[in-house]
Amino acid sequence: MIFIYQIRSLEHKTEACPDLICPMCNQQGGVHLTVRQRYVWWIGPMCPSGKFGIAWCERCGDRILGVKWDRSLRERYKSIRSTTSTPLRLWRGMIVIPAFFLLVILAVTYFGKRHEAQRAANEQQKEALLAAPLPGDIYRAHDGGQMVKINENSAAASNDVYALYKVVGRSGDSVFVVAGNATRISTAEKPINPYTDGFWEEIEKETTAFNGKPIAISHQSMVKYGYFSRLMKSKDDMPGSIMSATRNHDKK
Amino acid sequence: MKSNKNPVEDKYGATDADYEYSGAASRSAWPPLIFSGLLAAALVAVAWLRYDDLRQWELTGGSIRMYAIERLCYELGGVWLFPVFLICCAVLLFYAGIKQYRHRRRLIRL
Repeated sequence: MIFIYQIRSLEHKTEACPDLICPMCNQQGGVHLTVRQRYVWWIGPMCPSGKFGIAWCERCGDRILGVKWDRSLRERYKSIRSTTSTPLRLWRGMIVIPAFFLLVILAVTYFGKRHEAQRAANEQQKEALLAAPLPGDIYRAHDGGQMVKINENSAAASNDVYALYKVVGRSGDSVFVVAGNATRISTAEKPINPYTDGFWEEIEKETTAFNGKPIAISHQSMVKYGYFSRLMKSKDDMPGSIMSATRNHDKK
Repeated sequence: MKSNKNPVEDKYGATDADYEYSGAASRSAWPPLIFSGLLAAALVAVAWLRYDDLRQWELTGGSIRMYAIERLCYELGGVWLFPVFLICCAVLLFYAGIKQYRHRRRLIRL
């Protein structure tokens, strides 16, 4: 991680000291003294350092070396420095920047928890609906399709139908569902990601009717594993899954 | 007043930092030498302690925690390399302290 920052310096006060003698040229009347303070600038000012003084003489045109400061110059520097104080704004970055990051962390935590709670509630609702299916329940599901061999070592699902499935009846371990007329078919060459935004909403919008031919789904595997598996399996049938379930019988 | 931005030497061989006065330590030549000497001594102590730890670890086995640079040194040159690296740093630091001490002594004598 790279931080780009600046070291800046703030001029607190500059005073002429006509009574002082320059230790460099031994002339009186040209000494000026300034009190400055460094701080770090990263997004805002922060970490002010201790103050320091710089003196110069207008007679000789030189700055006065720190090792050459005599007693009178040091005392004048101390008295000027005592009238200055570090402004609060030099600490601004230390408050504003951590506060910003804290806000981001709090927001991420809050929305993450809210999302997690929503997901858990949906999952609970889904489990409750799957445990006791009633005619009219709508499942957002895919039937798993069939397994196709790609090469010696791998296989993929093909003809995996994503659609709305409506429960039309139940008998023993069989839950009879009919598929909606709007479908998306996932193949090994062109797999579908059902988690993209609006995927199911589009299917819901396009579904205008349900097929007449019911499919029998195993209730046991639905409850136990969340599978959407045909009870009468064909060769190479893959188990599908139910993404969510709703019970709003007036809707479709 | 001249610019305080570029640390270039002027006619006295002084840099901008030499014109800053922040307290009694700014007037003496000793503080840089004392601080660099203390830091160098601390580095030598760390070098010795780590050398001792690594030697003990090699003799007795078990596990030891190392920083990435220490592990790299150990893999490249064995037990000696990391302490030698620290001692080199200590020598360079102390040399810098001596240089700064001489520099200030020269400025004081101007």
